[in-house]
Amino acid sequence: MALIELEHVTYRYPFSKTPALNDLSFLFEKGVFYGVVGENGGGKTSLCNLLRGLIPHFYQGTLEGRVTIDGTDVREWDTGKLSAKIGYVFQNPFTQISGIKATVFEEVAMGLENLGWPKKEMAERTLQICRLLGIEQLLEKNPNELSGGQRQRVAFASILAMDAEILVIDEPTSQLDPQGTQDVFEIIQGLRGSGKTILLVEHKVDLIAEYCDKVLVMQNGQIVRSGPTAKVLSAADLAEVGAMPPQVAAFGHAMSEAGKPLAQIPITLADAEAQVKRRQEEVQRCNANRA
Amino acid sequence: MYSDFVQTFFSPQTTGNWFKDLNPLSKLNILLVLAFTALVAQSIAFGVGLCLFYYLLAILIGELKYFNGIFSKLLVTIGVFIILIRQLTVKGTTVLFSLFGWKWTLEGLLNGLQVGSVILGFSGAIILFYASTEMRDLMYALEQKGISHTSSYVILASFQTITDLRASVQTIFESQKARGIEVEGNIFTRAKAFFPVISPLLLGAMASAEEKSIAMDARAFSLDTHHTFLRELRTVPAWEKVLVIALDLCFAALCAAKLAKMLGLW
Amino acid sequence: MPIELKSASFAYPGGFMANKDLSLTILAGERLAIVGQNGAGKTTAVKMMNGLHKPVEGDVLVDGQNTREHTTAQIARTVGYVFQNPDDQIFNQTVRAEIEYMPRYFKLPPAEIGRRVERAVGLTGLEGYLKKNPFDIPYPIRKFVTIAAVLATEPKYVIFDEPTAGQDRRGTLLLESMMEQLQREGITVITITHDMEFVARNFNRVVAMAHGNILADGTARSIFSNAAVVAEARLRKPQIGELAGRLGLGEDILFCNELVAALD
Repeated sequence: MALIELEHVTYRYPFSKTPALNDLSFLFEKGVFYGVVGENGGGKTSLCNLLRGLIPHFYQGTLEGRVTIDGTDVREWDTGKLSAKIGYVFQNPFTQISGIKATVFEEVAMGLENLGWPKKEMAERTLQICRLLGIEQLLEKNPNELSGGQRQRVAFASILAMDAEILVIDEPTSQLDPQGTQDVFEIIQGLRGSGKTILLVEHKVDLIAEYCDKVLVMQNGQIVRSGPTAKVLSAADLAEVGAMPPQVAAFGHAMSEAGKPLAQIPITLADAEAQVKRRQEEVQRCNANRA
Repeated sequence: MYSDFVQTFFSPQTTGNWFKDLNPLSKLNILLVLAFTALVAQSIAFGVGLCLFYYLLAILIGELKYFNGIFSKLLVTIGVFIILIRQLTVKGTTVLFSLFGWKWTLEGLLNGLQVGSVILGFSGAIILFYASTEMRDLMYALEQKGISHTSSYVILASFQTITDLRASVQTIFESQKARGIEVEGNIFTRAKAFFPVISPLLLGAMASAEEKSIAMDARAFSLDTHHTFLRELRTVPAWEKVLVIALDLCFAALCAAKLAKMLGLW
Repeated sequence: MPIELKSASFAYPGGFMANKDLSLTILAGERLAIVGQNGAGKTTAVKMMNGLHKPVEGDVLVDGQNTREHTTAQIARTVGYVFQNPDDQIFNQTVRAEIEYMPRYFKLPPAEIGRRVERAVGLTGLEGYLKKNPFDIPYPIRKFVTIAAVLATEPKYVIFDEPTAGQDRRGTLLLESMMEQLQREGITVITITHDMEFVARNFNRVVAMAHGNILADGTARSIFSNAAVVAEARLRKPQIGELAGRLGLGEDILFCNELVAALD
């Protein structure tokens, strides 16, 4: 079932001549984990802003075409209700902390206060999420004094606690060190199979390859590729549309060129390891037969 | 089943100190009455007595260090400043001593002490309020009285913003030095560095304000529903209400008396 | 002439010792990556190289000059430093004005200013953006504006802090060609980065830091093939290296062509 439907959507930011989104049509299905890759300035963040309802409710500018979320046009959605339906996590770990709460426990519970949850449920839900994201040891800490990676985890927890149906995640690791990135990867791994509809924008294509069901490639405000992750990321001409292929996919293509093709182009490390091993066994078997 | 920390949220927030645990609005009311009494009384003795009372209260609530830290600085700067100014502006005849031909008069000194004691009597109350009240508790109390969630957010967040801005200034300073702009040295050099430091600071503050409003919107800030509170204050006990009303009545009586005296009705 | 850290230590106010007894020599024309997790002391170390931090013990010499005897702004003419966040630095109304600011500040003749701007713009691919307001262009490109602004001061040594963060394929390729050109001009490039693929592709010398000190200093290959260093500095091996390791082909392989060659 289509949860979010885009039909010929074109959007221009105020004072901008070129459209940020150019004649976009796409169906986002319920429960699918989408990855978005592509060039900077290609429209990835604008797509997030659109799905999150920030376009047209927060950013002015001109929006053409039809955007429906759960069957209702985005223009008719109440922004408050939309924020309860769609969770949003973005790049900057510093601006996502409220600055008004003295402990991580209160910070994570804040969204639930705004949703009007009773206290007992609020505390339980908050503890459950913090346990899930491994930030229990931070509960009593001041969120304004945490490292970037820790703040990003708290921001994730704060949004996940609200249990929105849809999650929009825009480059959550671009300002983090490898450890912070790893922490966020673990959270994203945990989101798989949660039944939520997720849109993840990320430059680290290895992460997309690992976790996403489907991938969109954006360029010049358009969706230039889309489909199952393995199909999109294994394409030999991915670089031509401005996207970085996974290292192992490039390796797979190089093997084909060298006349030693793998059965398929791998997109994840585990995938590559399995395929190379299979090839090695076959080569051995052939050699044995010949001998 | 909950840790001690989490358990604390299930009962009203109290510190066990009778004064600190007053409702922030009661506290504000009491301390403002004291502050304005100093203003109305216009008396050195009352001002000094009030300041001593503040010290006593500060000791009782265990905030002597915080209170004295700010109050003593104020005492020194305001005291010196006012007394000097009054010596210059108030004409008197009773010369106490002469400093390089500058005659210090008793009238000027008394006037200076009076104004000083009023100012200190007033500001002491404000400092004591900060010393005894967490701003988030004040905002909670105001929200209970009907102040909008958004306004209380903006006020509370601005305190953190000041801390954050201080950190950004440091980074911007370093980043401009690192490309060759002198930011230390004489006034002229510093003036030249003003623009390269202030513009990134302002632009950055504006950009993060925009991002923050998006982030807070994602936490359902604008959802039009009844909000609940994880951290709550106790309901105001009857004795506290009586105390506040009694104090307000005393203040009203004092004002009335003062007014009557001024109009020559007494 | 080199940048020399001689048993240099630095402690932040409050006493946290971020670098302890650090010794490192970086020669003119070298290209060096500094890697390691946050808190390992990378940023503190490079801040000592341009005098933002003066060592509390030991000495830091830039071309023989002790950094204690000069202000950061003076050292910046020799050692340029591009901060991670461009928004901490940009303040002019147009990209051109931002790049011109330092040459003008140095009161250089107009022809020289023009030459420097042209060079910096060429290196950073900003030709199409010169008249734009820096805040109207995307963040990753804005980062190139700060790079150009620092390159316009024509330092002998230039330090980049996390240049690849948030960059797409085009941005990363641009950075790589820029570093090639700087190397041809004999300019030393020192880069702090978490991007191990970027390190493997572009850096001959890699310094791995942990706990405020240098853990290993060598070629990318020698660092990534040393499992103990990789673990201790919490590095993430490039994916191809990791794959080769898992396939039992040894720890030396880093690149695609090597792995292809190693397989039947």
